Amino acid sequence: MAQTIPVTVLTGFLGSGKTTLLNRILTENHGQRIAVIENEFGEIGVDQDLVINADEEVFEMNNGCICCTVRGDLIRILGNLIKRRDKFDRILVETTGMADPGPVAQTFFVDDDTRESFDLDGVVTLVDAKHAELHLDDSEEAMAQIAFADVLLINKIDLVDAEEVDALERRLRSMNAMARIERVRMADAPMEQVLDVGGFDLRRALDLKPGFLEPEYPFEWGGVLQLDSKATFRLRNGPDPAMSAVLEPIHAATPEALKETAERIFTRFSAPADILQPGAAFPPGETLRTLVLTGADRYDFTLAVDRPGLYALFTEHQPEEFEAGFFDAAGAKMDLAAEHVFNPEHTHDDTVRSIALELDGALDGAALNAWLSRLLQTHGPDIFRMKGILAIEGEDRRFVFQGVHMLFDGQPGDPWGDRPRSSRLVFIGRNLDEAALEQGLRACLAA
Amino acid sequence: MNGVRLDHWIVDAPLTGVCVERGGRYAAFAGGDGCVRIADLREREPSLSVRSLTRGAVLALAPDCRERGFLCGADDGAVYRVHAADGPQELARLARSWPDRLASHPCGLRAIPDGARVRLLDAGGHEVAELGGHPSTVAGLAFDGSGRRLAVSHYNGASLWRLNGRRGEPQRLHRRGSHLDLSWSRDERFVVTATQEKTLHAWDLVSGQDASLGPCINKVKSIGWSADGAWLLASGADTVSGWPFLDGRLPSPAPRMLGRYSEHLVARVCANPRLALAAAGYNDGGLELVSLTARPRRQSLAAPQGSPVADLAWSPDGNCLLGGDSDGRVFAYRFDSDMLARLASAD
Repeated sequence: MAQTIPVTVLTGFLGSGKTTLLNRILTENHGQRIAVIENEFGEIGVDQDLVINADEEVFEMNNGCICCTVRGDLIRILGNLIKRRDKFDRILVETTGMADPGPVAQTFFVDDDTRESFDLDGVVTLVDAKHAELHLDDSEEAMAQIAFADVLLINKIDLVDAEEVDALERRLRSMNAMARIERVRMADAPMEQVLDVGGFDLRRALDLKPGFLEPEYPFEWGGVLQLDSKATFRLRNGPDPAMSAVLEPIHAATPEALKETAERIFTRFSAPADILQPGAAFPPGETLRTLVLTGADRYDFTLAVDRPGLYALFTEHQPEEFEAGFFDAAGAKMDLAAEHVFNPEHTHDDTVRSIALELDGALDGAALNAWLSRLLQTHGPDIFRMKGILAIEGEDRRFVFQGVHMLFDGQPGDPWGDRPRSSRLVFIGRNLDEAALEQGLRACLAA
Repeated sequence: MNGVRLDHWIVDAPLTGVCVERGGRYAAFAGGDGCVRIADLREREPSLSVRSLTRGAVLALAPDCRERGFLCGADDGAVYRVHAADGPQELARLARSWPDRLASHPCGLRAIPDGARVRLLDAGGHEVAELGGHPSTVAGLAFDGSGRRLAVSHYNGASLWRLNGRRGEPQRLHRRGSHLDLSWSRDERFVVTATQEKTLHAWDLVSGQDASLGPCINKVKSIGWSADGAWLLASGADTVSGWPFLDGRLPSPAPRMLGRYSEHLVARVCANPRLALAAAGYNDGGLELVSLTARPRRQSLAAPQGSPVADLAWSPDGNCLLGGDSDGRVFAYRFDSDMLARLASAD
């Protein structure tokens, strides 16, 4: 049997840099023969490789599964390519900006001839650092492109602030915990980041390590001040009539020290607070303080310390939202020695997110089967990708599976050996109920 | 085996199509190396005359409307008429689609798909009509026996175009899904498509009824009709699948399995145009004849060579069987008509 040819799908909104990336891959000196299947609006001009125009013709399967749509044109193009005597080493499929990658991925699940000769290697989604937030807020297709991705390339990071890129990366991560996220400028991603990803490869599904977000902080900002005795923390009216804050000694005036201190003190924000009226003293210490910020147009709090030194102030909101400033005993404006913006808890309520389930013990095969098929019947259209490693009662080997919407593919993997039996599943989907999924899986535990 | 002469060649490129021109004298083999190779079946030891058309693959091959000619579609978008005695003549060049199906009719018509349209050319190569409005790229193309209608398959069904008189809108045959290959029954009453979903779909143009046939184990790659028109034959299972259209009614979905089961699936089936028998080519390269009789008999022709039979064709007189596999082994069997007749009347 001849080797299968890897196929990489490039998605991303108009202007995100797909064509730039394509050209980069094609002109890189890699010695591979690459055929490009372009969307109807594509116009790349690289003539040593074969470029084929595709009309992105999608049809619905007759199998009663409403989400099972397939790219018939792709089946046909790939079927014709395989007839050539001089085969290609690799195929790249570029979709139009507005395309949902679902039908492309599903094509590789449903067509036997395509599966026999080709492997879907991965979905690479380019994300325009400047315009992505906008697209994600109002486009289902943009969401789907993020959700389907094995690699997310945040492109044009030189055009926006680092903080904006951080915020975007967090948003992408919360939607898709399985993708690798890379930051690039002119779509200048090294080939090995984009090709041979093995996103649909069951053997590689075994190294399932979703990158879930670190805990989010209950405060948005931290700053370091050199305090000698007293200083004034002055605020004006902002988005909230009150704000929680903590003052704490710190050993260095660096963002790293701030992050370390943040880890130590963040539980204080869930403890009962001491209410401070304007004009009150704000001492350092274990207690959470809530500053009352209503009824006037200026609020002063006295940061009062016994020992001079570096102190960190953590606030629930960003001080600039309250036009806040720091002043010394002489009334002169003080500069911060360091500051850091922490990730706010509620940035976006994206309907698309990743859910990971982990469960110790072996599962009952029949119960699991029934649960999964019921889940895919009812929620298939909302599940973009899923992967899992399952411990099934009576099976010596780990069972690995991966899927797209209602379609999935699974096989026994390596033996469990002495390892304790446990199952891990990751879903990337829309409006998924984590508690219900967890409960459903738990109900499959073998007696 | 007595009563048969075999010639075979290695062409070092996957076979992409085979056919015999309307005069029955020349056979053509299309290859994944961009060449068409022509054999004169009247020669005692035929050799292959090579015509190079493209650097890529020849994607479609069909008999042209006139004798001694072939229609060829190349993967650079060009459609050629290749004549047994001349060089290739370009008939059309498609800007952004591949001519991977072609059809002609001896009345002097050629059909060339161009995306979601079909261009109709006359025998002189002039475009006489453009048939458009199909919901997707055209997949299957077939003229009916009289040349009065052209059937076109696409997403969600097929369209039947009337070619003489007032053309107007085509008759639409609707069924959800992707319809690939297409065939008319010999009496022109039924149109059958092979679908992406491993089934066939048959429309009865007289009663207006339609039926899904199958499913088969694999996607059906070739369909055809027995010489007497009574059987629809298809590949895609572990034996030749047949559906009887004996009394002019649509058959029930489950096929009759003709002949013995094999470990390997039938990749191609091709009905003999004169006798009650068909050639079947398997995924492992095995080749055999199956009689379409009450108790089907099989006559093995070639031992499996490992790679799937890529295409098969009979000459119009039914005495020559041409074919080849995806590794470039191509062959021509020339049978004594007595030998075939004995097999076709085996019981």
